[in-house]
Amino acid sequence: MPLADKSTTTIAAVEIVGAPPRLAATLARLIATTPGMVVSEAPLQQDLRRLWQSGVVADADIELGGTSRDRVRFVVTVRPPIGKVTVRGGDRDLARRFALLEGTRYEPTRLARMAEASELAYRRSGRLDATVDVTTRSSRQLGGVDVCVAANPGPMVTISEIRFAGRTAIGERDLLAALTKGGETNRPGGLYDADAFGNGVIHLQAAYWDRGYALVEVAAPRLVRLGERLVIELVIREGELFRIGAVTTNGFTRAPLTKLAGARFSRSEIVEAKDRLQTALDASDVTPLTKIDLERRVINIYFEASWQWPWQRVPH
Amino acid sequence: MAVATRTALAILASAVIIGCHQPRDTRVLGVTVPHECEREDHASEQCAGVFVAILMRLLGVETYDDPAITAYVTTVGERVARAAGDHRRWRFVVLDTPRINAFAALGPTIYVNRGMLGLLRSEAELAAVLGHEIGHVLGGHTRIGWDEARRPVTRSDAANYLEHRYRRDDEIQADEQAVLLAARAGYDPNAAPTMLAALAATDPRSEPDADDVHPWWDERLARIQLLAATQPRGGERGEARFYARLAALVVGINPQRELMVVGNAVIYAPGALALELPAGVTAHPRGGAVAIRWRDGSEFEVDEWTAALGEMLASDGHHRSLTIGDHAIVADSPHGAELFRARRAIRRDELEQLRPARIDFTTPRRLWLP
Repeated sequence: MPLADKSTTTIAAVEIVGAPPRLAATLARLIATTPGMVVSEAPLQQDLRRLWQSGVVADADIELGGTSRDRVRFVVTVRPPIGKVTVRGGDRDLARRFALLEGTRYEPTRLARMAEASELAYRRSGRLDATVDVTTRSSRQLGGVDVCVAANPGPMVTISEIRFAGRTAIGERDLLAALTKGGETNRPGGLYDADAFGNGVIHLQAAYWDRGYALVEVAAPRLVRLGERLVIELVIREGELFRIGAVTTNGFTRAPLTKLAGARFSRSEIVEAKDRLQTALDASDVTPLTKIDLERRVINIYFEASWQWPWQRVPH
Repeated sequence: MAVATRTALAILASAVIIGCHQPRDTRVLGVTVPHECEREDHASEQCAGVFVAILMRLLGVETYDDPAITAYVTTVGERVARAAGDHRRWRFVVLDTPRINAFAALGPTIYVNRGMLGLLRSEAELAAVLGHEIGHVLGGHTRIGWDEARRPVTRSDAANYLEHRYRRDDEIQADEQAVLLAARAGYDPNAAPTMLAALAATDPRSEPDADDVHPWWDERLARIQLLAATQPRGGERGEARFYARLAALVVGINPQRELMVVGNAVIYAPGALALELPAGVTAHPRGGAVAIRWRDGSEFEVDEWTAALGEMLASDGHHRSLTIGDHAIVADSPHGAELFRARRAIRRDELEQLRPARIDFTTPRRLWLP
């Protein structure tokens, strides 16, 4: 149906054709176009979108039928069935997940996502070269589609070494401990978990922040593959050492904070001071606001306390 | 649920501190933890089942004490699982909560709430519910969910979006199995769409929630209707058998186990006590808990938890708890202290109101329409 149909005909009937009766009744309820509307003002395009979003339609179009061209027909082609599913390679879980598709409806994008999810699962378990490919062909079953899945998990890749280039202030063992935080992955001999590695880098930065290196930079990890071994290189720019400068507040006593001024910058100690202050003041919240003085290499801190009535507080 | 999951993992991990020198079983919140499961990252299906049992205790959910109903659900579940060609030893557990839900865990174990059973009207609909959950296990979704819950990672928005789509695909697959497995087991495949329409009618939302991995109801219904239309006709519905086996099912709040509001008191039958509401204070039930409205207009909830968690919460300064035997009532407010001072024994006339309601199959059920 042309997009810019300017017909001023009043719609006499709205039908869904091409779907089994119960499904047609459900799809009909998704449609906002009703008898009595003028064709040019009816939300036909939005209705087409809703039909697509139902998940069961492979194609949809609109026809104007009847002798007066006043019967709006949404002509849908429902998704074809999946016939046989063949899986080559991969583990039993993957084979079973794809085998469950037999008898369901063919959705190319969903199949692609399932393959992608399977690849990702393999890579998270250390099989960094894993591939899962899906191909289709017409099924012997009329109008159906057969699916073939070829999975190649590839070898298990383990980390042989993690190198910290540019480090001077913290020893390699301490950096590794901060990076891995006691976990089994992302350590020499373990598997590489990219998501967890990002978390690990934050812990690594925190280790520097606790030692006065407030502006430490850790570059994105460089991965070097050597067959089934992986070497990870992290370039660290430690930057300058910072101290805490002025410690100010929004009016209350600074007694719990007297030890902070002049000390080496430490994120953990600032957090502890914040917690002590919150308890001492029975404040609902204390927020430390920091300002860096690059020239003097100090960080000034302003502690802002706020109070709420007990019933307004949200337990953490 | 995510917070409770992390708490349960932490409690499981804390067992290591208690018993790390000798390999022996421990007990956490009344659940036996085999020594091999004490490592937080131990990934066997058995340990996953232990974890879920602890989570149940944390959430204060008990199994429903009706062996006949549990046996019936098991019979139907095993029939559906065998139709999938799976001959593992499945476990089907009915949980004593009026909340309408069912879920799958590793083990493999399928949990069905008593509230879900009360919504259904045929054995075929029960087969569809169990088929959906069995589909999650067969598709490996529970294993993936277990692995992901144990990975402490932070992802980008784009990665989170992808994960969300993958989990939505899992729900679509489970819905498909609700139809296919039930049909293969000899049940009427059209029971799955009516079951889903009844379930949708209980949803208070009027539009989809972006965080929900389930597709919206119209899409779910359209998908399984299309699939059901292509299945062989016939298949049993098993209504008479279903009605006979579930005639004793308690529906709604079970006053023998949960908090009730009776007149001007909050009644807790397992502890045989009542909390008399002070002047100017009112209460009403809210999703398994009781919401108390205090004189200043603030509201807080009183809920029933396990005793161990009640004591843990009481120590954090934000909650007050009253412990009776294995149970604790917890109020998330300092007002709980005043409330708990007003406790007394249950009166005879209040006891009369504590008879549980049974299922009524003659009451028409609302079905969702798009």
